[in-house]
Order: sequence, then C-alpha cells, then structure tokens
Amino acid sequence: MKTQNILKLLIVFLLVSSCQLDLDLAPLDQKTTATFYTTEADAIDALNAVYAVLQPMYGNQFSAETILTPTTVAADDGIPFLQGNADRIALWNYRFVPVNSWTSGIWAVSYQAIQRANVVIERIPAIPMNEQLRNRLVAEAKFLRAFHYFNLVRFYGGVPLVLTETNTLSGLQAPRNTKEGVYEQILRDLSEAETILPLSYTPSEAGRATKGAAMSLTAKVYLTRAGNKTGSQDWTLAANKAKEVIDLRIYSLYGNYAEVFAVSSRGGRENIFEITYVKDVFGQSHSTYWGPRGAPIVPFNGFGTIRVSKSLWDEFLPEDKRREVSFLTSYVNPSNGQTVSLTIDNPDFARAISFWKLADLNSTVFSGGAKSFPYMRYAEILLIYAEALNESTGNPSLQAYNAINEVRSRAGFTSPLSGLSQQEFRNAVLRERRIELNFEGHRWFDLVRRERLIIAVTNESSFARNPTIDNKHLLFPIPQREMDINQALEQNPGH
Amino acid sequence: MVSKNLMYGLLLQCLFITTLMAHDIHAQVKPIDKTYVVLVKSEWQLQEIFKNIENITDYKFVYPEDILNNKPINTKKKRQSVNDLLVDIGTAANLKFKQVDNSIYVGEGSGKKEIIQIEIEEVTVSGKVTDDKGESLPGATITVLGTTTGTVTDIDGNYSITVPDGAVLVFSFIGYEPIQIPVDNQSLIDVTLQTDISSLEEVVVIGYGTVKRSDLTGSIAQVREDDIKATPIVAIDRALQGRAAGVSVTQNSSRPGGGTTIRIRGTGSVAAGNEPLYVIDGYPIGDLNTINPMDVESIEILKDASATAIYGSRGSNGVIIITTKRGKAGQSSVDFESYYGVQNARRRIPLLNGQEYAEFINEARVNGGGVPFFDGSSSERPLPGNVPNNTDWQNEVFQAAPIQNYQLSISGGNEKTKYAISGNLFNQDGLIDNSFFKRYSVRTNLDHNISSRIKVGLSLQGAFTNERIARTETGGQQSAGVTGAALNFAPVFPKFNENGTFYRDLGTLNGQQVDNPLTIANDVYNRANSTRIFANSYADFLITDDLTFRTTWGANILNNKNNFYATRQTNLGFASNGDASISAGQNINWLNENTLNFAKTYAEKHNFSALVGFTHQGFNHEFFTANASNFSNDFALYNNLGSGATLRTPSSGIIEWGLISYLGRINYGFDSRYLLTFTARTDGSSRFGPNRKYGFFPSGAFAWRVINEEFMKTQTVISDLKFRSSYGLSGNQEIGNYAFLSSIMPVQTVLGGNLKVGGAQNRVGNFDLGWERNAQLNLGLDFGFFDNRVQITTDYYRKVTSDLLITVDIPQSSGFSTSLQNIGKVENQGFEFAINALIVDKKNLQWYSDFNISFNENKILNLDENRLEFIGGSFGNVVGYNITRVGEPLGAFYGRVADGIFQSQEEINNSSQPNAKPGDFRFKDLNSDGVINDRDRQIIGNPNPKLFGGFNNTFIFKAFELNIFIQGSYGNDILNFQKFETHNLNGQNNQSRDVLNRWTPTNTNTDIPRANSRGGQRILSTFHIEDGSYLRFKNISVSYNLPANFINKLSIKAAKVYVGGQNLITLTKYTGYDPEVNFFGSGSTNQGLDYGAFPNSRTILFGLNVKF
Repeated sequence: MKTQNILKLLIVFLLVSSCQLDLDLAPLDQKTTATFYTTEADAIDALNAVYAVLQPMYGNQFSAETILTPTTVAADDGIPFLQGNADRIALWNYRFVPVNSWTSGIWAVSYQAIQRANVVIERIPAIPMNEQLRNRLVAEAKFLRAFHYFNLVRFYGGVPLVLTETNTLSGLQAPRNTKEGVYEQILRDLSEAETILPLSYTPSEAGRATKGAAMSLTAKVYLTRAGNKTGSQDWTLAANKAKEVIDLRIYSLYGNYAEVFAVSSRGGRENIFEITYVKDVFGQSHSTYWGPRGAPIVPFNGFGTIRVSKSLWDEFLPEDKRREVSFLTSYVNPSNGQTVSLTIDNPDFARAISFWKLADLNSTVFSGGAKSFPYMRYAEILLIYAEALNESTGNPSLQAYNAINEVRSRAGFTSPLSGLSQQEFRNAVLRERRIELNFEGHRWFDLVRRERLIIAVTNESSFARNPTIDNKHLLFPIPQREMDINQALEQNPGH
Repeated sequence: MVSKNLMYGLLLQCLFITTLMAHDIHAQVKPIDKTYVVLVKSEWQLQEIFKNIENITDYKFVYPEDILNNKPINTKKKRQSVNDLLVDIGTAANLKFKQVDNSIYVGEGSGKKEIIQIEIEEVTVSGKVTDDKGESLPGATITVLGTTTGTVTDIDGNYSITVPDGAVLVFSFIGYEPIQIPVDNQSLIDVTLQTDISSLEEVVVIGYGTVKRSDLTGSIAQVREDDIKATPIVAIDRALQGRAAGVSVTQNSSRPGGGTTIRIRGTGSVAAGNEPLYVIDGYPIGDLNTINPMDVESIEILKDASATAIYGSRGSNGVIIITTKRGKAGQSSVDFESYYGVQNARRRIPLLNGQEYAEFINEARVNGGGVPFFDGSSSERPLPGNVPNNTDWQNEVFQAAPIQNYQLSISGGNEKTKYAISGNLFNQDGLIDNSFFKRYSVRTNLDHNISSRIKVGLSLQGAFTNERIARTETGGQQSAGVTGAALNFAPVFPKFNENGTFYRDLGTLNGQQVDNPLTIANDVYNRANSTRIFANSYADFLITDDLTFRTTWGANILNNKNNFYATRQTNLGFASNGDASISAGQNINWLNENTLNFAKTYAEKHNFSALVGFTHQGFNHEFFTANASNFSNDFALYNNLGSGATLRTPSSGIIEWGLISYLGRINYGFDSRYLLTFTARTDGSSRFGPNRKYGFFPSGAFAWRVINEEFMKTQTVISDLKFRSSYGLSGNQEIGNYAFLSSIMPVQTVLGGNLKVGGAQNRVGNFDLGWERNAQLNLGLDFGFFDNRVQITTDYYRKVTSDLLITVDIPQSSGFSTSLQNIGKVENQGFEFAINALIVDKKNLQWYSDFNISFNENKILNLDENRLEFIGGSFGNVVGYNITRVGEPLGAFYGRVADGIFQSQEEINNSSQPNAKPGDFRFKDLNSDGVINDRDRQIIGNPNPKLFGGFNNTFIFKAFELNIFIQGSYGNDILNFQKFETHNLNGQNNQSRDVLNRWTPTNTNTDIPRANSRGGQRILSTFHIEDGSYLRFKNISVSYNLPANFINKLSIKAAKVYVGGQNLITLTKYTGYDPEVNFFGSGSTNQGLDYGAFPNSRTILFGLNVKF
C-alpha cells in the first residue's frame, strides 16, 4: 500500500476518533439541581423529601428512635439494654459526652430536614404551577422547618438559624442564635403556615401538615417557652391557641385508648399531626426494638433496647385502661406454646415488661409496622389547654378541669378531678401527660421545661442507675464533631 | 520468556534492520580503526612500535628493512586506535600503510595523503540461525565483530553476508546470548542461539510501547511467567505478592475469588481509590478475576512518575501492565498444563469446649450479679460437667477443599499470520462448605501482516465465572457470617433439632443472636456469575521506515448477576419467610487509541524516538436489583421472585464516565550512555467539576549508563551500572461519578399510608472538584556483576499526593455532613532493593535466587486548614476506631490504652475508674482529667507495614527443580475486631481459649479480664491491636522433567510433573485466622481490620505439564 493511501486511512481514523465524546456527563438516573425544581411534580417531590426525614426519625429501620430514645431513657420512663449500646447507657446514667451518638444524632437529622425545607421555601415560588398548591407546599415546609427547630431548641438551646438553601461550600460556619431568636423564627413559620394550610386533606394524604397542626404546635411552643415561669405571657398565648384548636370542632377523642393507635385510625379525628407508615414496605420497627429481648413474636426477635421503668409502671392506677394497651406483660412463645410472663424488675431483659402500644403485630418483616407515630393528638391539646389555663388564671378553672377530665374519663376514671390547688393541678396534668402520652416523645421535654428533670432522674434509680446529673444536663451538648468543624459555635455550659 | 523475547525482539529488530542495511561495507570497514592500544612510553624506535603492536594485536607488519631509519618517533601515551597511531607515525616518519586482512604493509610515504590504505579480501558466508528449541529465528542480527557491518536473517532464519576474510561474525538476537564465530574458511555457518539469562537486553513493556531494559529510565519491576505460575491463584494480582519491590499485596479475603489490596509505594489517597491501574495488552481495565493467569506472559509494574505519567489521571497509584501470550512463526505448539490440589484451613481459632463454656457462663453470671445458668436445675440447665453437646462449630463448617486447573494452549503461525489459542478451566472449592469459584475461559490472539507495511491483530477473551460465596466478612449478630457464627455459637448447642432441621437458638446463651453456622453455610445462598467478553484489535501502518501509526479499537463487556436467597431457617429469612433478591449489571467499557510512533538513530550515536497519541475511553454501567420475601416454601430459592407474597421496591441505575486524552513521549539516547525521557498526558474526565475538567501530567527522566563510559572498560567485575532519576506528576480520578454535582436522590416517605417518592439533594455541589496530584521523585541505581550473574536494582522515592480527594466533614447545620473536596497532602517515602543472582552455575546444578525488600513510610502532611485530624470508622458499635492525623500514617488505629487489670479495690479507688471492679481493664487516663472516656484515646496501631518483601529460590538439579518462595510483611498492626466477641467475657457467646486464663481472685497475673455478664462493652483499646507481621513459605515445590527418550516415544516434546505446597509454614504472632486480612477490602483508611474472615488455606497440589 502506498504512503498516500495510508495517509488517507489515517485521516479517516482521526475523523472517526474526533467524534465528540461528551465530558459533561450528568446522571441519567437522577436529576440534578440544574434540572430539578422546574415542574409541579418536582415541587411535590421536593416537599416529600422534607417529610421523608420524619419516618426514620420516629421509628423506621436502624436509625430508629432518634427522638424517642433520649426522651425516654434520659428521663424516667425507660431503661436501656444494659449490655447494649454504650452510648444509650451513658444517656441513661448521665455519663454522656459530646460525642454521644444519641445526643449528636438529633442535630444532623434535624438540619437535614431543615435544609430540605429551605430548598422548598426558596425554590418552589419560582416554579410555574398552580398557585394555591404552591402556597400550600411552601406552608407545609414552613411547618416542618418549625417542627425541627422546635426539637433543636429544646435539646440544645439556641442553635444556628439556617434559613436558606446550602448550595456552596463557603460560609457554612454558622454561629448559634439565641434561644429567643429560634423561638421567634419557629412562631413566625408556624403563623405563616397556619394562615395558608387547609384544615384537612383526603385520607390518602394523612400526615400532611394542616392548619390545626400548625395551631397545635404553636400552642405547644408557647407552653414550652413559658417554661416553669409563673406569670409568663406565654401561658395565656398557649391556652388561647389550644382553645382555638378545640374550637375548630374537628378534633375529638376516640372512645377507647387502643383505638388511638390502631392502623385504622390513620387520619382519624384524634390525630392532629401523625407520621404514617406502610405495612411491610416502609414501616416502623417499634415491635422489634422494644419487644422483650429475644422474644420470637416479632421479626428478628425482640431487641429489648428499652424497657419500661418501674416509676412509670407504678404511675398507672389499677383501673387505668391505658396500662394494658401500653405495655406487654406476657406473651406466648409460638415455638413451644409456653406463656412467658414479664415483670417490671426481672434483670433479664428477655423477661422485661415492654412498651407495646405502637407495636404492629400484623407486620411480618422487620421495620414493617404500620401504626402511625402520634406526634400531636387531641388529648395533648386538652392537656396543654388545662396546664396553660391553670398557669394563666392562677388556679384550675372549670375549663381546665373539663379538659383533663375528658382525657381521664376515657382512661376509665369515673370520678373526675376536682378541688385541687394550682400546684396539685399542675402535678396532676404532668402526671397525666406522662401516662397518656407515654413513649410518645414528651417526657424528657416535660421534665426539663417544668424543671423537674434532675429530681425525676435521681428518683428513678432502678438497675443501679446512679446518674451523675446536674444543671448542665438541661441541655444536650452540641455534637463534638460540630464543635470541631465549626469554629463559630460555642458549647453549652458545662459540657 | 522465550516467546516474549522473540516477539519484542522481532519488533525491535524490524525497526533497526534498515539502519544496518544502509551501510556500505567498503566505506565502513576500518578494522584498525576499532583496535585500540595503549603505548607505555612516548619515545620509540619504529621497529619497537611495530613489535609492540604485533604483541598486543593480531596484526603483522611487513616492511623493508631500509625503512627503519632508527629515527626516534614520538607517540601519544594515551589509549588510541591503531589507525590513529599509524597516522601519527606515518606523518612523522613519512610512511604509508596498506592493510590486507591482518597484514599491514609499510612503505615510503608519497606525500601527505593516503597514509593508510586498506584492502581486505572478502568471502560470502550463509547459513541458518535457530533458537535452542530448533526453531528458526527470523530477524536475528549478524554483524562483523568490531564493525557495524551486518545483516539480518529472513523469515526462515536464513542469512547471507559478505565479510572480510578472517572476520569474526557476531550472531545476536534480543533475548538471546550473542555468539561469536570466526569465519576462517567456512562458507556455511549454522548457529543456534541460547536464551540470554542475563536479561540485560530484555524488552520491558511500558505504557504505549516497549523499551530495552538497558534503555530504561524509569522504575519498572517485572514478574515473569514462571513466577505467575508458581502458585495456584485465581487472579493475577495475587501473583505479584512478594515478587516485586515496592508492591505490597494483601489478600483481603481468602475465599475463592476474594479480592486483594495492592499498594504500589504506599497509600497515597484518602478517599479516592488506591488500587493501581491495570492495563491488559494495552487496554486499561479494572476487574481481574475473569482474566486467566495462565494466559499471562509477563507483568510489568510501573512505579515512578516517568513510567506512570503516560497514564496521566490514572497513574498515581502505579500501573500494572499485563501482557498475554501471542503466537510466533514456526512449528505449532500444543501445551497442556494442569494441577489438582487440596486446601485445608491453615489455622483454627482455639475455642472453649462445652464444659469450659458452661463453667465460664456460670462465672460470668455470678460476677455480673446473677445466678449460675448451668445449675443442674433442669435438663436445659445441666451442670457444666453434664452438658450434652460439645460441638466444634469450626469443624462442622470447614472442609478439605479441592482446587484444580486445566489449560490447553495452541500457538503457532507463519510469516503472515500468527495465533495463540487457549482454553482454561479453573475450579476452586472453598474451605467453607458449599462455597466455590469456577471459571471457564478462552483466549485468542491473532496477528496478521496484510502487507509489508500494514499489520493487524486481535486479542479476544471470553470468560464465564460462577461462584457461590460463603457468607463471611459481614456484620455481626443477626447478620453474622459463617465464621463469625462459628466463633460465637455456643458449643453446648446441638447441630440439629430432633426433626433434622438445623438447630436454632436465640436465647440468652446466644447473646450475639447469631445463626447456627451450619444454617448459614447451607441455607444462605449467595450466587454470582459473570460473563466477560474482552476484545481489542489493532492496525499498524508503517508510514515510512521510521514512522508507524497504530490505531486500536476495543471493548470490555462484562455482565454479572447475583442471586441471593436466605431460607426460612436462617436469621436472614426467618422473619420474612424466605428472603430473595436478584441483581444484575451490564458494564460496557470501550476504548479507541491512536498513536504515532517515530524512531530513528542519527549519526549512530543519537537514538531518538517519539510518540504522540490521542485516546478516548467511555464506560457505561447499568444495574438493577429486585427483591421478594414471604415465600410459601423454600423450593424455588431465588428463581421465582414472583412467588413471594411480599415484593419489595426494586432499584436500578446507570452510571457513565468518559475520558479524553492526549499523550506524548520523547526518548533521546546519546551513545548508549545518556538517556532522556519526557512524557506528558492531558486528560479530560467527566468525573470532575466544570472548573477543573482537564489535567496535565508531565514527567522527565534522566539515566546515565555508567558502564558504557570509557573508564569502565578496563575492569571486569562490574558488568552493568546505571543511574536513573525521574520526576513527574500523575493523577487519581477514582472518586466515583458525578461527585461534583448536587444530584436529586430519590427518598421515600409515607403520606396517608401510601408510599411517596421525594427528591432530595444528595450533596452540596463542588464545581472545583479536580484531580489528586501526585508528584514523585525517583532515584535509582542498577548494578550488574560478573557478566550480570548478579543484578541489583535499588530505588529511593518520595511521592507527595496533594489536592487529595477527601470527604471532608462539614458543619451539619448546612443540612449535609460531608463534602468531597481537594484538600490535604500525603507523603510516601521509601526505599526498594531487589537482587537476583545465579548463585551456582554448574553443569548439573543451578541455583537462582531473587530477593526483594521494600520500606515505605506513609505520613499525612496536611489536611483541611481547619483541622489536624479526622476520626473515622464506625463498625459493630465501635465508632471512631481510626484517625487521619497530620504527621501520622493513614489509617492509624485510635483507641484507649489498656494498662493491665485492676487487682484490688484500693487500686480502683486511686484510679479514674471508680466504678470498676477487680479484674476489669484499667485504662490509661491519657488527658489526666480523672475520667476515662473517649478523650483518653491515642494512636494505638498502624496497619501499614514498615517493610515487606519476598525471597525466591530455584534449584535445578539435572531434571529436578526445587522452588522455595518466602514472602512476608513486618511492622503492620491488625485490629482484631473478632476479639470484641471471642474475648468479651460477658457470657453472650463462645470465647477464645485465652479466656481460660481470665482474671479470678486466684489467677491475677494475666491480661485477660474477669468474666462478667454486665461487662464486655465494645471499647477499643490496645487489647484488640495485634502485630500482623508474618513470614510465609508461600510456595515450596519440586518438579521433575520426564526424560526425553521416554516421552519422545509418546510423541511428547516435554513433560513435567510437580508437587507443591502453599502456605505450608507461616510464622506470625497474630491470633486470628490469618494476618493477611482486610475486612473492608481495599479502602485506604480501613486497612487491617479482621472480623468474620474466611480462613486462609494450606494447599498441597500436584501438577502435570505436557508439551506436544
């Protein structure tokens, strides 16, 4: 072959070779920020991503119980498996340090949700779509942002207030805001959400933020911000807001306590804000996590990570119907038909009375429980109303008695409370909250806000708890990892 | 060996043929010009000089007496050629000289011109050149000694040359020992060349070309075919272990088909990959398990920047070039190679037996404030002496496992077409019941000359692998694997239930909640198969004699499928009534390379070659997974997902990457003494941010062949001496795809009890994301002694990897935890030493010995400007077990310091652990704050070896050959994570026999704490760190070549039988299954963690190789 022919061939090859190979490859299985946030469907997806943080946070898969563990174990309601996770035990006996995974875990997951909410709040207004829907989606995001800041401010105090989307690596060193500043932002988001959110959705959308949810959360924020201060204006605000919720006349108590947690009650009349699950597909794992250790009645057998404390158990009076709904006291081993009885003080976690009201035994797979997590239900609104009214009016009023007695009457108490002093009524409400709302993520917050944490933790001393608790423990430490990276942060005193 | 030399020899010889032929014999012949003499004094009588020259050369002077006028002649005392000397004399004494062959006639001068006249009589010689196997050698060079006159053999090995009478012919061919034959009066000279063991002229494969070893400027190690075949291996990466200086190879898992970690000159990257780039027959590729090691002819390991920079953004971890066998012209060759072996577990971990276990459980419970379990109160709770079972679970799940390999190769060809075809079957059963790895592969290599100027060829490989993977190296507890379970499951448990099913127990004696090991081995099905088609074609165009254009087009297509099923008897499938999943992936990697190669020698002394190229490569990977559970029975396993009552969400995806590259190299050699190499590559990668899409990687090298200097000519001890130096940049792009983009990842949520999909940003975008830059300095010295019977290669290097791709922690208040950024610097500094020697070379006994040793020091120079360290790692409830700290090596283990055992309450009262009890661990209060917590941690181990190496010895005694190969590593620590279970002493699982020496009030002199059912928290300390140093007799084998007179009757050319043993002896203090272990595979900061490992084997095998 002649040189000339070879050169011709060469040219052909070079031409073929130079066919452009694209170096600007973008994923084909995922959109990027450059291509997302353009349609109504994208807007809905972006908001769904904010909701998506809730399922694991309140009980799905292995990230289970981000909130429920600290609010029970660090309070006086739950005892951790004593051969298990050292960080959980440290939470219980108050030997935790800023690297503790439980005190740190809340921070990361909350801000993840806040970032996603920020994205919705910033990006969705620019998407051409149904305006009513657009406003609603933004309002839902604001509710959820407030929801997570509320957790953060209660666990850590004043935290960095990040209200815009993170889309660059510069300027990430956000300083802490004041506690007051965080509360103001929470209330601002909630009030904006409240004006836009609808009263209800179709049952297939249960779990979305509603007007009632925003109002209820507002009431609870006021209640929390009031702390233990007598004469705080927040008591009045809390009572008024709770009354507004009651006056909506769309919420009421179910006839019996078990019904509250039934899967069939999803989207029902008592649930103001709930976190919903799908059986076997995307469920919660409470039955396995809290079932008696090794009990072959739940998928993977029970882990027994947290058992019921004696002091909580003892709060239930014999006529209280809520006890048998809330706890598992015996079970039948399916392999040999023998009944295993559980007790409150058996050191063997395989024989411990277990928290049970959210266990969904219809599910056959791990983390397949369909029972919703009841973040806010009407019973709590009644108790908030009762408590706030008692504080704002200086003594228990008839409305306050009515509110608490409505809850108690369902529990099986035939004689209503009456004739209590303000202090007695205050104690009665707190005790009622402990029982009615057990294992629903309230106890630690209640103890902190009413300044009863140290005494309560010290008194619940079973299993040689011997806690080293003091005033610094009214706030969790800012996660050590965050302190290390963000020089603008200051640690909570004492940690 | 031979065939490779032949192949590259041909290639190179072809390039130089024209140069040789261009010379005209008459114009060039100046024999006296090439004969050097040194005269010892400067003042001479004429006759005296002639006599002197006659004495030291072959020349005879013929002269009339009257010419000697006894006038003294002055000459230079230096070393000079006879020619120059005679010119001087002729000028001074007015003489002229005429050389006829070896006679020099002296006459009276007739002026200044033509002092020397040469007439040499010529003869024509012809013949045939063959190799030691009798095959003709085309392209062999024949030169006249002392001249550059010569010719080459034709395709049949024939030659013909006209030479001066009395000349001496030098027959040479690259890879063979040159031979000198005086022509005398012969007209026919047939020559047989012997393989050159000195290897000085061996051809080394480098990126986009080959080079003579003597011309090498970079640092490149070679592993030869014999070494690759010495041990039975599933993949070629394992063949590198201990064979090449600077190359550290660790088997991650001993399971059949298990991976390795290869580090060439240390770990340079934190987050991006640290594995070298593999190049198979010029094709940069990834997975090696489907490549049949028996097809491999040689492996070259490119180590320094001069060698790797030609691979640009993929070169920084070193490059491993694998060359497969190609056919050669001549007789067809049929080879059958086979071995069959039996593997046995090299070590078992000694555990408590039933009674010891029961006693231990009782003690733990009592110490923990409880009551004894084995109290004789019921049949379930017999006294320790009466436990009904004593099951050795390791015994139950380990088996003697066969390994076998069969290979048939056919190769041959003629001057136009050459071929090599092979078929292979490799079948390895695992030590753990039911596990195996099978590979069936075929390979065809074809080369064809279309014309004298165009050559085309093809490499085609097909392979199918099929394996069942034992469940090992997994997490613990419910999901524990076979070995993890065998170490945990109580020896008092029976194997089977009364109904014959596997015994299952998740009660209090099984606190780790592990499955019956037999259940996992039998009822967890993890099957993987893969099909690979790897094809690469080339066309070479010889545009001019000096300029070649090559284009290659190829693709590597890999399809794999994984099937998984856990029956309802297993933990994994119990609750879900059987759990099945299928996943499959399709990988297509395509490549086009176009290179232009120029090589020419100017004025004999200036060797110049240059390469430019343009390549592009693309990759596409598609995959999906489908799951189902809740089957009505276990019959169909993973074969019918649709029969599961519960179908889970399927997943699928696709990734792509593309790489566009421009590359170039210039080699310049002056007089075979000074060698220069410059290379550069520009890579554009889809993986990096728009701001840093392209990277430029230059390098330069200089080598000085001291041996070719004049002053080395007078000595005979040193036969080779070369100094090498290089410096350059290479890169690393192994960070996954789209890492700079903020993508929308699908997330799931539930609203109204319905599954909803959401879209969340997976990270913060980083448009500045770019390459890791690896700058490397290399200084090397090569020595050869005694005609290169001893060869030494030494190298010093310093590699600094900067712009490390690190997953940096960012404030979580941003909504994200990490981001991939280019920050930080890591240094690897080291020294390599390799020696190979033919120690004994007698007629009946030869002893070849290779030894190499490497020292590497790894150090983090800096990280994020805000931080001096990252604490990382989270596994099995142990968080932060390793630390990345400035000034320290990568992957250092981080934990507390166990400071013995508390002996008394008084000691406890004076300590920082007020809640401890006698018999508990005492930890050092490193920050002296009176509290023991995570702040009392320090670096407690380093997984990087201080040194590693190999020592290979081959003794050949007549027809017998003995090979002993020793390999080892020193100074690396292992985090024996298994100890969190085998030494937890809390009565949740079985224990190591070490626990028999636990602390009790009467046994206080021990480092094992007391039994305590409330103890055993997973606190990482020096207790869990062990010395992972080892020295291993990797291979000992004896082979015997069957006598020719016997096998020739069977029409067999050669036959060899051998028996070998692998891992027969391993010297180590490590108490786990094997010191070669990496739970996390090849991760950079997760090396040296041992948990639930597949045990290593000791193998005895028998082999038979036959050549027809």
